Amino acid sequence: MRGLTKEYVLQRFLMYLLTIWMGTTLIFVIPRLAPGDPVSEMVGRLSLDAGYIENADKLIASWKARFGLDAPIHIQYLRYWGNVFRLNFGYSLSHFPTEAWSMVSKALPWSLGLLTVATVLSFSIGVTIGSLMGWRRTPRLLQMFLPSTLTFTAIPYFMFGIMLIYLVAFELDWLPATGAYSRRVDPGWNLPFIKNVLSHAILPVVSIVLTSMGGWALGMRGLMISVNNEDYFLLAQVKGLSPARIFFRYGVRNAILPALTALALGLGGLISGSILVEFIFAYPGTGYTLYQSIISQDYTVTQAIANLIIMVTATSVFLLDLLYPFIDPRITYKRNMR
Amino acid sequence: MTETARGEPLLQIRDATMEFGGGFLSSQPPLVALDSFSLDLHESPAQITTIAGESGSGKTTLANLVLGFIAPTRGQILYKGADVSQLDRKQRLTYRQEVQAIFQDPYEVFNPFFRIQHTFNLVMRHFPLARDKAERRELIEEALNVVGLRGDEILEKYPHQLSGGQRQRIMVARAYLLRPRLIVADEPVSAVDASLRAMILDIMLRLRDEHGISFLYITHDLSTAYQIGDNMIVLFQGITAETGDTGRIIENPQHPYVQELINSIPVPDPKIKWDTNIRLPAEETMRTQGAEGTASGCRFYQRCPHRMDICLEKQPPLIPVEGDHAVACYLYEDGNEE
Amino acid sequence: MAVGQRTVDEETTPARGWGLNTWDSPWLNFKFLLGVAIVLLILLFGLVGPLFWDTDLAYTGAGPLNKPPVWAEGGLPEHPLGTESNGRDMLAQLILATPSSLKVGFLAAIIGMGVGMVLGSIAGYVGGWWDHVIRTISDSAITIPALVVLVVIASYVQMTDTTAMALILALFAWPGPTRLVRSQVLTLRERSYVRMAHLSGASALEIMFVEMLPNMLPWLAASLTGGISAAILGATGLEVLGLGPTRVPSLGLIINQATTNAALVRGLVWWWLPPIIILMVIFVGFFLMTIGLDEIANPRIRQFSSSRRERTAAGELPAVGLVDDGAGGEEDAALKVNDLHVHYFTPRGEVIAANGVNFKLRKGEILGLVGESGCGKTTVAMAILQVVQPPGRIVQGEVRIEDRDLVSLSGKALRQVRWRDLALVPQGAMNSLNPVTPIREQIADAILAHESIGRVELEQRILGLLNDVGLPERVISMFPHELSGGMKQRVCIAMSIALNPQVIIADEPTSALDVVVQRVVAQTLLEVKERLGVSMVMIGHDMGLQAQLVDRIAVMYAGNLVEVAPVESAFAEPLHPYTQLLIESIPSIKERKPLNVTEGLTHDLRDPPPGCIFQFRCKHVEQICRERRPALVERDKDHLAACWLYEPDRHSLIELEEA
Repeated sequence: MRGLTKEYVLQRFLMYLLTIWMGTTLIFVIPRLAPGDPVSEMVGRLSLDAGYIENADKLIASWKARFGLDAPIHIQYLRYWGNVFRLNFGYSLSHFPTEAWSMVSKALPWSLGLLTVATVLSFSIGVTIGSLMGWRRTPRLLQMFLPSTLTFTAIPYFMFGIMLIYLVAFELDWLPATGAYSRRVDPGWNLPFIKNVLSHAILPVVSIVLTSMGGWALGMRGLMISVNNEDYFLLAQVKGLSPARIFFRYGVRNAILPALTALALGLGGLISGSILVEFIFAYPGTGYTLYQSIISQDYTVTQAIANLIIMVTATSVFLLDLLYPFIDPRITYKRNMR
Repeated sequence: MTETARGEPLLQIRDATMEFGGGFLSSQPPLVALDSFSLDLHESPAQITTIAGESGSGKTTLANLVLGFIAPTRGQILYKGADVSQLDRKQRLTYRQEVQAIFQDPYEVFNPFFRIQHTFNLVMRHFPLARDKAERRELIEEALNVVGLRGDEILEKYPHQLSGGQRQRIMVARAYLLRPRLIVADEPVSAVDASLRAMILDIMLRLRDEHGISFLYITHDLSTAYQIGDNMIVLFQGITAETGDTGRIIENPQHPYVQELINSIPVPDPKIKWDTNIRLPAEETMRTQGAEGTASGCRFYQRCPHRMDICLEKQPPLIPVEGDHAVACYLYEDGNEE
Repeated sequence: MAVGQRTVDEETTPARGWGLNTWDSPWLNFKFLLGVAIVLLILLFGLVGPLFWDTDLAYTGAGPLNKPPVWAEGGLPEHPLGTESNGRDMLAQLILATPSSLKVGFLAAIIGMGVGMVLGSIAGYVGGWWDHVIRTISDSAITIPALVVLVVIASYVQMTDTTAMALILALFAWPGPTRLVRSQVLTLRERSYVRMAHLSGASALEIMFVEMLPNMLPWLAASLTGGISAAILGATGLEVLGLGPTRVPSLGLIINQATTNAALVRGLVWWWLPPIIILMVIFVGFFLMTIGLDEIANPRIRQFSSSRRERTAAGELPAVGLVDDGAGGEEDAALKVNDLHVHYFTPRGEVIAANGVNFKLRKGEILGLVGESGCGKTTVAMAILQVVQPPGRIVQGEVRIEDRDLVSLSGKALRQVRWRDLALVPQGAMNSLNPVTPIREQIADAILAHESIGRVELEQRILGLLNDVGLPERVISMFPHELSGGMKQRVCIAMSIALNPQVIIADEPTSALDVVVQRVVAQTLLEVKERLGVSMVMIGHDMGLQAQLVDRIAVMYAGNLVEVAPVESAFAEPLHPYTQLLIESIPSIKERKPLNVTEGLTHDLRDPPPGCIFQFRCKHVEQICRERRPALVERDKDHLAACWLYEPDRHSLIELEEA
């Protein structure tokens, strides 16, 4: 039995649905457990700002009706689910009549691009460093130098980001501090624009990569050390294989499997961190839009983005899970005898 | 074994079946680890009853059932006439006290976190063995004397500070402290060196002869069973293949499987080489549960040199050959007997 | 088990160090202690600070605006760390903010750990449906991006104080500990000592807390410190976004106020930098604790780190009666081992695992190398193959195949000899095959490392090898986990003969197999050997199996060879008392005999006694045995023994010395 089995796919799919259900339900339930309701609070705040609002009660009632907040909670929940499924989150409150979805979809590519690049870089660099650190045959000089690459591991991304902005953007003025591209370039598929986008992406990517790769490296180091002690690793040496082949086919190939699981489990954390990075760098991705929507009390956009991020995360984890049996042939194999 | 007029058996196993797996999201049928197993053990005279079998024979499952770690899927385990799964508090305490165990690995038996003392204190705390501290100490000392150790030598030490032989003997002393009627010895000597093996087997014999303790000796090693065992049951894939007096089975095995097993034991004499003409089974036929032809019939069918059509139809019952000696093989059915 | 084995084992087994004296305790890990010190220091700053500094200065209008720290130009002594745009004193703000950040972290992580321990133990201990449900939920929950949900929650629910925030953060702090506790309980549950405790009448709760908990402490602690920093990160994240409690100062809130007031652009470094520095120090502290605890929990990592600081001095070599010629054999040796010494440099002393081992493997023979566990037989095998694992090292000796000494070879030269001239049949039923690659690739690996042949030919050759050991062709594309123990072992045999080597080292090739399979595999090995005429060293502990398989037998005790003889004469007329003991204690199915009870290895391998190494167990011990080590010399035709009993002049030898 190799590759995907029906049992495995079904199980993973159930977990996929469960993840989405839990995340979105938390978002739905917890605000409703809190005293007051968003609409009254919002109208209250509006009246604070404006001094006085005519027919505040009517306004509250009509907004409640528009957002369906007057229905009993289970009906609200069902509707909410229907909307989540159809990716229909209604209109943005602060940018009426723009649909919430269209605002989100504008932000999504920026985030996906930033995160994909950052994740791939941090995981691959981290795994490489960790593998070398956990291998007995790594040259002594390299072995001594490698731990220094982990200097920033303990620091949260966004703090590192602030320091980078201060040092690289303000003090040294090497790279732009905020945004995804400058106003002076025309968006489109032209070289100046692409160059501009890349130069804006460097600092956010660097702040994520430098601070997160150490985690992968340390994990990988431990795994590699375990593999070092395995019988098959010893046999590979005795077979007279080249060090490179032993390192990759016997060492990394085995040690990376749990690291991939860790990647799937850590994806949520990575995405969480990127919200703050986008905030610090005013990078117009989902995280920044989420922040903006909260500041402007644009609840529909907030919900749309939060749900979307949860779904994207769950989907990535699900895809990683589906990939896994092809990398580790043991995963879908059930032993016949015990 | 036939019922003799020796009163109520100490331990009685009635048609115990143990299945693992199957169930939710499982595409495979459950694995039958033990199939309709029956056994009567009498209190006196104390005997060493060997349960012999290879890996997958169900012998460890049987040990776990008798010790109450798992409950049978079907069937009953009776201790002094009471069903082990339905004991009241008092009966349960008696059962725990009187049915004890010694295990295979002398390293793993002691919690590395505690001094050896802890092992004995644990027992003392849960069973009403002694009234005061002095009496406790006396009892522990006495139990240690039985295995040739002294309290002040070992009680304050940590497990890793003792030799393998000491650990193994302490484990026996711990069991003895409870004055059990039955000790389940689960491969007590298969991981130890020759010198230690003799020591443990010797202690088992002494406990049987001097203290009237019965043993369920669970092993894959027929030669040690031959040295110390009284009765024997040979299991094959969860089924009793042959049962009777140890000496008689080993000197004159009847079941084709038991014959194969005994022929495979290397003779410790370079002048008597293995009979190379003997037909040995192909590897693929060794994991056959659920395989073609064995679903309802004899599980040894695929490997059996004497297989007949009837063997495919129904699992052969235990057929008595002489006295207590019985074989689950159609070769010995009336009319078939040579 | 013998002492040598144990001393080496101790380094690789986690909890073996518990009971040692305090200075040996694994908890004395530098990184862990440094981390603890750092966190304590920060905590002290927050706790003691209010006693020395007026914290009322932390509120708006307490002082002049935007004053730099005292050491900068324009700084005021009454505001040593300066003030920000609302006139708040930075030092007072930091003193108030630091403990509240730590409090949130501890509270959330402890709640998460508590929930995790309950759920994890239920899942691991009760199992079945409970396990299924708890595992599925925690595995799903762990992948939810916590901050997103937190941000949304925080945007609706105005968090008034840190406790409320900690409670909400705890929603995401339980899945990690749950997973950890579950897997730990599942492992520990199968430990014999837990089953023993069960048999001693301990209740499930008692087993959980008394037997299991102490043994998972390092893991739990690592998870807790990791959880605390994750919770602090979450809280700070919310605060930085301005979504945390706004009435009390917190480190994140200061950063939020600084960034929203454009402190970066305005050059107000003293506003945004200090909270970041404090947070970084906190994170570094917890990070150090976490990785320190990882090392405590996982001794392999600890050992790996320390093996690079391996001591180099080999120390004085004990005087050994050396036979120049090696044990037995004249010219036609396939392999010569000369005066081989292997030591393990453990923190608790130098273990002498092989002490001047000499033997020759004749062409076409099988030489059995036997002894109890820890006698050094596997060490000798590993030394022949040049794969002694640290902290072990060959400190002296030669391993010769033809005219090359393998000990002196390294790099490419050594790789060329490996497998082509010297192959290994490992305990294949265990873990000797790479679990993620098909059999084809593992055999091809060995061939292609030494020869360059085409794909078709390679495939044919591998199929031929599988056929040689009686395996069907389809095995070629199977994975190790799809094979039974016996089949895996035969794959290993097929692999070993791939390059038709001169010498094969077989390390307990059948010892993990059932008896019938053992016989099938042993016969395969014999057939292969006969057909190829290869010479073989067969490591083993089962004297019965040795009697069936080998031509000559070499008996090892405590790192020394004590007897080398043709197998027939070794069994018929064993000379060394230890060999006699081994043969007497073989359980037989041919005759019932009285049990021969003796002690195991009685001396410490770090400190071998002067004289004969077997003196403490020997029935025939004499004065000379306690003083001088006997040499391995020929006592009968082709029969060597290291024992004074066969030395007629032994009494005069000792008198001579005394005179």
